[in-house]
This record gives sequence, structure tokens and C-alpha cells, in this order.
Amino acid sequence: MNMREAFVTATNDIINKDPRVSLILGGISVASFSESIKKYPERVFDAGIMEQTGLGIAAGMAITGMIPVYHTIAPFLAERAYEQLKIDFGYQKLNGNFVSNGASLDYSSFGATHQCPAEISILKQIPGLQIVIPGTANEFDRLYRDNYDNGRPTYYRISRDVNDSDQDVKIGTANVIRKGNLATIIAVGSMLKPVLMATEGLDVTVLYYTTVAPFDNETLFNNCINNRIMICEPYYEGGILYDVIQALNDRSVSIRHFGLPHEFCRHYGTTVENMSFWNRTAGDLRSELEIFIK
Amino acid sequence: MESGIKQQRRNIIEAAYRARQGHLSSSMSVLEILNVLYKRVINFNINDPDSILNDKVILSKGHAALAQYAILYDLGCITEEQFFSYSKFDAILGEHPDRNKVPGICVSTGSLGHGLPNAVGIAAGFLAQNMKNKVYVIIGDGEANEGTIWESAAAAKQLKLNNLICIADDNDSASHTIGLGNKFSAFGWDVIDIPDGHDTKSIEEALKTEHDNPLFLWAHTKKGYGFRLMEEDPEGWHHHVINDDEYRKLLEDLL
Repeated sequence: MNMREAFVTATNDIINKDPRVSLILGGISVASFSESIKKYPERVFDAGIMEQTGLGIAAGMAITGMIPVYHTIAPFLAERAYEQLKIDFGYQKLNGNFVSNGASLDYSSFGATHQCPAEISILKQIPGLQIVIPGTANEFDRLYRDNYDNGRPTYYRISRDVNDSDQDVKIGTANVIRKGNLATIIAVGSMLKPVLMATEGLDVTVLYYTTVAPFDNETLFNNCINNRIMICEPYYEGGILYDVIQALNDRSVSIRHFGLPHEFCRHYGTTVENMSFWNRTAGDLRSELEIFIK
Repeated sequence: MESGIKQQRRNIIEAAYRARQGHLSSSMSVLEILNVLYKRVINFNINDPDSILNDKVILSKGHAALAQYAILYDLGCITEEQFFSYSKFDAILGEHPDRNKVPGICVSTGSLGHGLPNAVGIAAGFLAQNMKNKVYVIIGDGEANEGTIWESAAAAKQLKLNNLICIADDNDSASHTIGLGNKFSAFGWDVIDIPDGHDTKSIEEALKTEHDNPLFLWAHTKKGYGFRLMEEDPEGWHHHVINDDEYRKLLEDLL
């Protein structure tokens, strides 16, 4: 099961068991929810290609005590309808689940219109918005089912890239994957897979973050031994830089980034081809790390 | 009702004069609509203004908040001290309404084009939970330039929201939105034209009309209604600091 299938299964389940749940689609995944749409037309529907209004409707439903889930492709959810996330949910303090598909480069052959490497940086500017970046389908399932009713606005980033194994994830808490002495590597979401490949045999700490807002300061603070930090993010690099600096509370640290460069993706092909073009493979990470910890 | 509205106009001028700011002419155009709604149409428990069981009134053109504050003050949902603290640092009343601060306000508006989509969601939420409440949302004609107004018009019809009433306070603010009634009609709404949006009887009659589809009331109003200074220069009074001379003249108009 991939992460998108996990979303469909979990959402159909919560729709069936919890009458407060409302699913609003932005013109995608409609066939996957056809039964629920037929069964509960008043709370499960395709609003169509109108992301701003789709999210506005979701906020209105939250005002009446329902638990909205809104789903569409990442840039149309997070960038086109940014003001709705900011005002309708953030400022108004409403609960809602926003599940995006496509992540940074899943739609690598579609062009930059469908790609969303920038959304984490901008979503982090909305106070109170939780941002969840699962690394596997099972992790998505657990984080989503445990938190869909937590009374807060929460953004879930579904990606095609996944890690090889599941971690024992919990919202708001980072996992310590490995402890070492020469550097602390922060892996966000699906970056854990290349990080584990690149750090094999190296004496480094690996921390795994599936929630980037709120940021788990404590785990980083307690696991930063020699003040060398490498931040590995599956979107434009720098998304959690402010949090890392805050967490370390004025300590003097050396920070390196390993994420997508701030460029439009001007090629098509596959994600792997594009990451290779940008020198962002596990091998590239290994080379950078070896220099960093020397 | 007329004397109550006049007192509200006086209160709005007083609050804006003290605060040295306020969206005045837009507040004056919508006052009769709000009064008919709150005093003659909606089910609204003034002792529990935020009750989920109340009908909801959403001011999508949130810059006219002073008008909604004035009637909530008139009804006793807002105290005198709260009303005349308008726009102060620790006031509950800002230039745009905040649902987390103001009793009876369920949507924080200000950025235009948000109130109507939220109202669509509230109406859908009520239907989904078999609740009988109605949702009344007031948009401006200038606001109708926002794409979300028309997205919402389509969505409300798709969702069969016969519990949703949208009232346009068409005070001639828009530079190019014309024929609002025909447009809503084309989206499948029931439409009623109110040629004089300050005539409380025709507003009430329109609001009480039975409807199977979402209902759109096209109320033609005057920006700055009730004050010669504002009616002569409605845009100059859109957001205005009242000086002492103007304050005197405005109060004279109310005599």
C-alpha cells in the first residue's frame, strides 16, 4: 500500500465510523471515494477545481462542529489557497485536515505547475498549523488516524517516495534513530531512506522528524553533541532552519543543508533523474557528510 | 425600528469619532438590512449569541463591522464599554470582526471573498447534521469581484443549500461588477431584487420569501446613507477620520 492508498482507506474508515467527518475533494481521488460520496452526499463531495472555496466550505463545516478533511494536489492546496489556510483555519482557530498529494516532485513530468517544493516554508508561517510529513504509508495511517480529531488545523504531506521501514512515530515528537558523536543528521519524512544509506558506518546521530510544526526542540537539543548539524529535507532546503537555530538556544553550530535547491524544476523525467541532476542522491549526501565530519 | 436605527447611526459616528477611524459609508449602507435580519427575521438567542442553534448572520463585507457591532450593542450582546472601546488596544471590537472575541460573530471576515464560502460550509454543515438553522450572509458589490463569490454560488447550488440566503449590499462600490441578480440566477439561485435597500418593509418581505434553492437578495443601497456629507462623497468616507467640524455636521443630520 502506498501513502495515497493509506489515505483513501483511512479516510473511508473514519467517514464510516464518525458522522462528524466531512471529506471535500478538489477534483482528485473522486473514484476512490465513490461509495462514500453515494452514501453520505451531504458530507462527502467533490467541490471541484475551486481550492479556495473548497477550503472555505471546509472551514464553515468546522464552525458547525464537523471535522473537515480537504484533499487535492499540493500546490493547489498549500499555495493557491494559502490565504484560506491562514485566515479561515489559522486565524479563526478552526480544526481541519489538509491532505496534499504530489509533494515536491512526484509529478516530475508535469512541470512546475504541479510541483510543490516550497509549501513547507510558507505553511510554517501560519501560527498554530501542524505540519506532518510521514515517511511511509503505515506512518501516515497512524499519524492521521490518531490526530484527525485533535481540534487543530493539520497539514499532511503525502509523497510517492517512502522509507524502507516504519518508525514508531507520534505527532510532535522526533525519533532518535541512531546515536553517534561526529554530527547530528536531521532527516525529515522520506529523507530517512537516503540518510540511512549515506550514514552507514559513520559515527553520527540520526534524528527523524515526521512533524515539523510544532518542532520538537527538545530531542534536537538533547542530541546535538558536537554542534555539527546536517538538515536533510525532501523540499526546498531551509524549511526548518529557524526551528533548528531556536532549538539550539544560541549555541554556536555549523549547519549544512541537503534538500531541494531553490530552483524551478526545468526538466521532466523521473524524480530520481531530477535528484541526480541536482546532485541530491544518497551518494552525494555521503560525500558531503564525509567532508563535513572530517 | 427606525428610531433604533437612528440611534445606531449616532453610536457608530460616536465610536468612530473617538477611535479616529472606521469604515463609515459602508456601515451606513447595510444598517437597515442588519436591523431587519436581527429584529424581524432570524432566530437568535440574545442571551446565548454564540449558540449553535441560532441562525447565523455573516458579514462577508467585514469592513462594515461597526454596523454589526451597533446592532449587537442595541440587542445587549455587547456592552456600552465594549462598544465605545472600538479599535483600542485591548478592545474586543476591531475594524474587522473576530469570531474569537465578539459575541454573536461566527466568522472572522475582513479579507473579502471569505465570508460567503464559509457561509456555504456552515449551511452544508447544518444540513449534514439535520439542523434547521438558516445562514444569512451579506456581501458587497465590490466584493463580488472576488472569484470565490462565484465559486461559492456554484457550490451552494450543487449542495442544494435551501438554508442559505445571500444578501448583496449593492452600494455602487464596484468598478465593474454589474447585474448581480442575473448572475446569481444563472448559477441556479432564486433571486429577488430590492430596489430600495433601505426600505425595511421590502427587505423583510424578501427575507421571508419561501425558496427551494439558495436565495439571493439584491439590495440596492446608498453608501453613507443617512448623512449628506457621506452621500455626497461616499468613497472619501469609505475609511475616514472624523474631524470636529464633521462630527458636528454629522450629528446635525440625525436631528
